Amino acid sequence: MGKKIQEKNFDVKIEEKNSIKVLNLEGYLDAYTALKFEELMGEIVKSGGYKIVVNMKNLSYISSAGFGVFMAFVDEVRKNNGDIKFCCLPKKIDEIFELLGFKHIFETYKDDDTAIKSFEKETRKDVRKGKKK
Amino acid sequence: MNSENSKIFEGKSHFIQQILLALGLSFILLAITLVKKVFPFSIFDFVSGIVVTALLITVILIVQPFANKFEKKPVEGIKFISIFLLPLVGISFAFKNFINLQKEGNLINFRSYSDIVLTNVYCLIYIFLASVVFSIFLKVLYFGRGREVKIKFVASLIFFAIIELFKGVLENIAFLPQILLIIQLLLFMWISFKIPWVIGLPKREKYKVLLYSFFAMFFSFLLQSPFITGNSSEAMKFYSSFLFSFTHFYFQPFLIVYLLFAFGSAIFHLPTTEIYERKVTELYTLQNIGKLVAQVLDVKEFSETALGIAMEITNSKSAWIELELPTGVEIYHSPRVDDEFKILTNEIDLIKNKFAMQNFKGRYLTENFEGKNILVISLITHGKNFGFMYLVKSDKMFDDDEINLSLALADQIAIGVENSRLIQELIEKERLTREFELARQMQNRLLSKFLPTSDKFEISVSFVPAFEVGGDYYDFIVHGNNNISVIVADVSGKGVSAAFYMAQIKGIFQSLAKVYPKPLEFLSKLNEIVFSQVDRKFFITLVYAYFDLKNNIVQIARAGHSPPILVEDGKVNYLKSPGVAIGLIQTDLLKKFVKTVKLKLKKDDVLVFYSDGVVEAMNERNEEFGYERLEKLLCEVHRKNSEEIVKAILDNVVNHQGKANQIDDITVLVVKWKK
Repeated sequence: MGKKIQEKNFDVKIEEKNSIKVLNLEGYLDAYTALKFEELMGEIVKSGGYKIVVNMKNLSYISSAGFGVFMAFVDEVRKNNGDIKFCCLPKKIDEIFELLGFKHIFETYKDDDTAIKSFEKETRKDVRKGKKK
Repeated sequence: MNSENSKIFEGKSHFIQQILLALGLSFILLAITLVKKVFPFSIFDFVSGIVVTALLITVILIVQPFANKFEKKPVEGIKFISIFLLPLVGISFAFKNFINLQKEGNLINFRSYSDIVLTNVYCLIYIFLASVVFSIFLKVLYFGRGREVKIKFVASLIFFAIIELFKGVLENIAFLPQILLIIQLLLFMWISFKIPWVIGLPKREKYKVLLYSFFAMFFSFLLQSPFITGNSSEAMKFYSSFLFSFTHFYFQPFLIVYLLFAFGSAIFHLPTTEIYERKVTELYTLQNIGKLVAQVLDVKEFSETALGIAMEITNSKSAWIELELPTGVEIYHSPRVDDEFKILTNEIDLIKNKFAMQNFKGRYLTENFEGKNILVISLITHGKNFGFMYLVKSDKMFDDDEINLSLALADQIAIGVENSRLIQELIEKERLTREFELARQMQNRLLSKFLPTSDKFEISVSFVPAFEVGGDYYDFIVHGNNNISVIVADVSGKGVSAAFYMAQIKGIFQSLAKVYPKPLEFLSKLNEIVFSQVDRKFFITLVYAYFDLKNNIVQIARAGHSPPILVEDGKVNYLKSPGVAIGLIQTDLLKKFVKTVKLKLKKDDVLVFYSDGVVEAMNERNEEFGYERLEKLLCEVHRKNSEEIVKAILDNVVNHQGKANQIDDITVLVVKWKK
């Protein structure tokens, strides 16, 4: 089928709040854009950003390859007392999270503030590790 | 003897023949002069004129190989003309004193025969040297000009020959010889007016032209002057008056006129040399920029070439480019350059900051650091600065022309980098297109071609691959007790990697399902393998259904996949049992999350398994097909047979999509219970 490859935009805006990286995803996270996003995640994790909140408020689509990116880094991040947490999932993406069983693996929050606060709680308690692993 | 040797031999023998001919001719001339001393008849003048012409032509032919060295080297040519004129002056002056002769009116008489021999020796040397000079002169004259100069040259020769032939008659008419002489000189000027090669010479070469042509002219004047040549030229007249006329009225005046023009032209173009040189470099630069286009694939190579040009046009001693590529900051410098940019790191940072503060206004900035002039130019495409070009000079400031040229070049570099990026992207896309084609073929072969049949149920399946291969997969396993398992899966990722994993998984499915037919066992074992073996990014969503034909029971487990649908008595039920995709978490956890659904099936129950490509299929308005449409459709068509149901779903999904691109694979598998 000689269909041309459709180009869709994807963008990430990074904020830093209390040493927690907040990634605001926008647009389509598909097999193509996942490659770039994986590079970016790699850089963040490499530079020691282990506490990551992914805000999906403006994300319109995520493919399995997109989920794969988070899976690729979740182990390393957790090994370093960090985590990847999600917030502001649009309804459709929330459904996919549910279907995939992603909610068993990742914590999801209504908004970024609660996601960030959950990190702060963890640092205070610093206990729940056994459960995580 | 082989042909090559014989050729060389031929060439040599040719040369020897010419020398022998020249010797023969000179002996004839010797004989004529000796006879002429006793019998001074004018007929001898005519004969000797012809013989001298023949001798001149022969010698010119002999010296041709030497003269050919000055082809396209006019400055060298003039240099050697002056070098060969010097001995000519020398021998003329020497023989002036050696040869004793008496002149009575127009008649010349020698004291002894030895004077005649000396005259012969002198004239032969003269002929030889003059031939060399004449041959070189012709090369210089012809350089850079076409047929026009040859025609003019032949015209001047004919004019001279005519005057020579009718000299006796013409000399008697008043003023005519003078007028003819002026015409001859005008002819020379006409020929010499165009000297194209002088303009393009660098300054140094022009000075050389001035020097050599001055000496050559000076020597030619000396040769014309009776004070220098005296008896020698008188002797030459005796030897052959034609030779005397040719050298004194044709060749040397011609040489002087031409050299005068060359000298004048060199002086005239001297002040404009620098401008001319710059224009030439500009042209050369343009040409080179053209060549750059061919190198767009390699940013490094391209940048280095461009820097080489930038250095040349600005006379900089050092140059480099700093590019902010997606892969990081790259510094390229011209290969001929020292590592100045390492020494100047601090200064460069200062300039860059200053430049950034000005928002790259004017696109360039010049700074001076301890005698070093640094020019920084920002590289811009689509209004975005993505790097800098640096040029460093230690002596002079950068002038406006240099800056403008550098700016133009910086534009070229910017375009080149952008082009390179675009081409890389294009190549990448092309590669992906091929990859997808390959992946599609792989997927097509992996998917089961056989459909299990039974009197208990009917199965139909349809599959529409997306252009990029979504990773959908389905399979059937027939167990020993005739029970069957149905798998509908979606492997994460796209393209070849998805197809590759699919191939791996097919083997695992087939062998595992036979040993562990129960859904939870199957999923656990599968997860064990996938979680431990495969890349972390990779996971599979799937629905596994195990049909117990004897008891009409189906056990279904869902691992992250779109929930299967049971249509029972016209009612649509989603079998949304809890589950998690395979390969995401450890098996212990997975076992906790995944729950199996057990259903008793009865006649006309319809089970629909599908991939997310069905509900996520989008139309041009970005509306998904969605669950509602699917439910509604199933309510309408569930009474039909499995094949018709599959077709109805697919038709509706494709119809919904319209002209929009299919993003993901679409798989629909329907099982309809018959008993």
